[in-house]
Parts: sequence; C-alpha cells; structure tokens
Amino acid sequence: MTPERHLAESLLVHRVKTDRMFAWLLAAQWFFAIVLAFMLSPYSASGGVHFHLKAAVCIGGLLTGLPITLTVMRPGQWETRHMVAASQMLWSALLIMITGGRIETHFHIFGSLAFLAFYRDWRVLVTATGVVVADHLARGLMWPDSVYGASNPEWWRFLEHAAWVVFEDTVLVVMCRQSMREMRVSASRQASVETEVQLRTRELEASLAHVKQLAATEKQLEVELRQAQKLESVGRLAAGIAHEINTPIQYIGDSLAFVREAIGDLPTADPEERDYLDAQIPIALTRGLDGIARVARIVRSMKVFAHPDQPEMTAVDLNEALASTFDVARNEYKYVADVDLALASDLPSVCCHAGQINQVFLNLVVNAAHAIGDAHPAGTRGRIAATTRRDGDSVVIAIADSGAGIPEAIRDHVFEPFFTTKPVGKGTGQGLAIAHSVIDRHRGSLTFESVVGIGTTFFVRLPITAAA
Amino acid sequence: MVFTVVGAWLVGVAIAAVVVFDHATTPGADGPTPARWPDASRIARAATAPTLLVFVTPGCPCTRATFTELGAAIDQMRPRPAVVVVVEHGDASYRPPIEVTAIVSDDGTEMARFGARTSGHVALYDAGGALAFTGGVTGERGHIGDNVSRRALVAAASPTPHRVYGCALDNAP
Repeated sequence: MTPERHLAESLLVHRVKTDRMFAWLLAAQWFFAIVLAFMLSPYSASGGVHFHLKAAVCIGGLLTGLPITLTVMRPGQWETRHMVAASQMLWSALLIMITGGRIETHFHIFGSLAFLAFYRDWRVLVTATGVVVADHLARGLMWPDSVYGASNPEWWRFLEHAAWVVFEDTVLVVMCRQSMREMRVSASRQASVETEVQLRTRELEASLAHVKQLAATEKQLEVELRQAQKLESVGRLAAGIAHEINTPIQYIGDSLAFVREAIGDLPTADPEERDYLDAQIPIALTRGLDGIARVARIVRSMKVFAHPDQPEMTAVDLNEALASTFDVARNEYKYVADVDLALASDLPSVCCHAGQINQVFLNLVVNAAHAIGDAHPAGTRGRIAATTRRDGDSVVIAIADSGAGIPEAIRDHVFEPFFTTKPVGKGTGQGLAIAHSVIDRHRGSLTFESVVGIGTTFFVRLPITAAA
Repeated sequence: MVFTVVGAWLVGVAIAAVVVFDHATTPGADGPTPARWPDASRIARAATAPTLLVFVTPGCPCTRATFTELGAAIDQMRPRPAVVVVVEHGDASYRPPIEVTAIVSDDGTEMARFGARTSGHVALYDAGGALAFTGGVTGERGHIGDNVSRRALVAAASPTPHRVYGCALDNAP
C-alpha cells in the first residue's frame, strides 16, 4: 500500500472517531441544556412549560439532530465535520445568549475550537470561525446585550472577539499541520515496513515451500530406503530359505524314491523282505509327509512375513508375526543359537502395519544372531529368547540375545542411520534406525537394555489400538 | 440531498434565532402609573424616604434578573429607598432575593392601581409622593447587565415609562 493510501486510511479512521466523540459531546450539551432549563425555569408564570425549557428541547434538538445524524450516516466525510463545526459554534452562540453575553461563556468557543482541531483539518476551523464572526457581527448590531452583555458596545467589539478567535485558530492550524506532517511520516514508515514485511513473507513462503519439498523428498527417500533394506533382508534370507526348503525336499524325494522301489519289489519279495518293506514303507511315507509339512510351514511363514504394506493399519497377531519371522530367519541363527519363544496366549491383536512390524522383528532377530555369532567361539551356541506380553494398553515384545552386549560408549548411537559396528558387507547401519522410525510412527517405543559380556534385550512397545 | 437538508437546517436555525430574539426583546404590557401616590392605596408609603414598589408574580423566572438589577441599583441610590415587593397572590413563604422593607400580597387591586401588568414592573415615588421612575430595570427579558432603564432608576429623574420585560400579571389585558 502506498504512503498516500495509508495516510488517507489513518485520517478516515481518526476523523470517524472524532465524529463519534462530537456526537456524544453534542448529545451531552443538549441533555445539559434541558436539565439546566428544567432546574432554573421549568414553568412559566401561568403554569405552562416555560419558554426556556421549550427552547432547550426544540432549538437544542435542531442544533444537535442533524450533525449527530450525519456522524452516523456519513462518518468521516468532510460535510459531516463542517456541519459539526457549525453546530458546535451555534451551541456556543446559544449559551452566550442564554447567559446574557457573559464573558465566561465565551470560553465555550475556545474550548470547542480546540476540540474541532482533533479533526486535523484547518478548513473546519475556518467554518467554525466564520459562524462565530457572523454571529457576533449580526447580534452585535441587532442585539448586543445577548452577545456582549452590554447595550451599547463599541462598533469594533466584534473585531476584538474575532481577533482572539483567529489567534487561537493560528495556534490550532499550526498544530493541525504539524499533526498532518507526523501522520505523513508515520504513513510513510508504515508503508515501508509493510513492503519489508511483504518481502520477508515472500521469502519465508519460498523457504517454507523449499522445506516442504525437502520434507517430501526425505519422506520419499525414507520409503525407498526402507524398501531397499527390506530387499536387502529378502536377498540375505533367500539363500537360507532355499536351503531350508531344499533339505525337506531332498528327504521327501528320497522317501518317495524308496516307496516307488519298494512297491516294485513287493511282488517278487520273499517273506523276510516283504516284512521289511511293510515296516519301512509307512515310515518313508510319514517322513515324506513331514517334509511336505515343513515346506508348507516355511511357505506359510514367508507369506506372513512378506505381508504387503497396506495404507491403513490392520489388526495383527504379533505372536504369529514373531514366530513367522523366526521361521524365515532360521538360517541366520540355527548354527549359532537356540531359540526360546515364550508367547503370551492372551496377547491381543495390535493395530499396525504388519509388513513394517515384521521388518522390525527381522532386524532385531538378525542382529541378535550376529551378536551371538560374534561373541561365541566356533562350536559353541548362544541363546535367543523372545517373549510377548500385554502391559496395560500396550503390548511389549522383548528379544534378548546372549551376545557380547553393547558398549557404553556407542549406546547413544545405535539408532542413528548408517551407524554400524559390523564389517563391510554384513550390515548397512540402517536396520535399527529404520526399526526405530517404524515403531515411532506407530506411536510406540523401541528401547534396549544391555550388559557387556551378558547380552542385550530390545523391547518393542506398541499401543494396542491405532494411534492417532 | 445533503445540501438540501443542510439548507433546510440553516433556515430552521434562522427561524429559531428570530423566535428567541422576539421572546427576549418583546416588552410586556404596561398601564399608566399615577404621577402621585394614590391615596386609596393600602400600601404604606415611607414618610421620609423614597418608596420603591416592585410588582412580581412568584412563578416568573425572568424576575430573578429584575432583582439582580434592582440590587445593583439600590446600592447606588441616595437616599436609599424603602423597598416594598407586591406579590401577586403571594403567600407567607415568598422571600425575594434582596433585602426589602415590606412584602405585600395582592389580589391584583394594587397592581391595577399602580398600572403594573408585567412581572418586574418597578415604580419609584419620592418622599413627597411624586412618581420618579416607572417601568422595567432589565434590558431584555430575563437578562442581567447594565442598561438605560437601570441607570434612569438610579438617577430617579425619569418618570417617563420604561419598557418592562417579564411574565404577564393576572390583570394584564
């Protein structure tokens, strides 16, 4: 906004306020005149309403009504303030007349001029002064008693009165012009500040947009990173799972081959061989079925583990999720650790993103296996203990290992991205960071307790109901 | 529109000024005041000093200015007159705002006798019973301030009637 526009707006606001002030002043004067007339001369000698009271009501209403109406209908407009000025001066004339030209009452003129200067418009003072001079001139000629309190004043008496009014006007005009100068400076400063604020606002908006873009990029990167880490896990697990499936497939094949050969031999077998085959065929079939069941279990666990991410949270059986994770990660720990699962039978379903939580469990299990593998000499085995339990409105999943524990010096860094103590190729330093991020998004917590030389326990705490 | 309203307002203000001017400067009715103190009057005249009669009606607010002017005039008059206030249908509670010699309640007889028809009428008789001044002592209705009538009363040498400004008395035509 330009300084001129600021000045015009400030002046309008100021003049509307001044109009409002004069509306109250005029109303108060009218009320005062009526009360005064009622107290001094309520009735005429004949018992009717006295002329003074009638005049206070009617003439006071005439002088007051129109300017007050204009202050309401056209506040801040030039015609309103000039009307107010004329009315206020006529009130002065009326009061001077009523008091028989008392010199003290003339101070009403000077007080009114000072009030009118609040408009900061010297033209208003010209109007007011014009009314005063015209009134003194006219009444001085026709009715001097009512304005000077004397029957035969000097002919130049109105000039003397006018001169004092002009003297005050001069002071007030100077004050008005000074006030206007100050308002101009203020408007200019305000416009300058506004321009600066607009500039800064645009800069801030640009910065905000940039920050939002960065946040979106970061979020996208995080998703991609999580996906990459998942792929990394899948890649690492693939060989182990293939091995896990291959073993039962082998003895399923062996068993089926034995059964086929045995069935072929049965017609020509002697009684001793027949007895042997009768005993071994069911055993071979049972072993084959066991193998098929094992493959089926691995496939089912894979299916549970590889639960695709859904946009909405769903109710998940965390016991099943944890057990499946141990199944698919078996190749990671089976050579170094035994597993104890103590899953609470009354564990409620938890509202969560199943795929993401499975990823957390996998990271913790793999870390536990690596910690044990690093800490135990070849040929010895450690232990991974996993428990689930309900704790109020949350469930707590604890995965403990009997590894070497986490040294005090690095405990503050284990959840930092890219922090790892594993050799190159074995870990990227993203597992715990992503696990922490996932649990955080679920409004849960991921903490750990560790004793060097004894082992580490990670605690996953998740709210049962979906977090807001 | 605004200028039409303002024009009508100015006309109204001018009419109001005329009405006020007319009210303040129109004198009340006045009858002939006897040149000598009437023998029939029941009001006691001072034997050795002038007697100043003031005719008022208690309900007239304009009369306050009359007493203000009278107070100033009496202070300057030599010899000091005996002041008798004749109150139209006055009762015992009426007290004028200046020091007076006597207060007389009148049913209009004395007022008619002395030709007083407007509240604020003053008549001054010298010690010999001759009329020295008659009329009002304010320049306008209810207005205080120096004026020709008051100066004439102080001089006590102007039996010519002066205008009386005030409320009408009951015996006014």
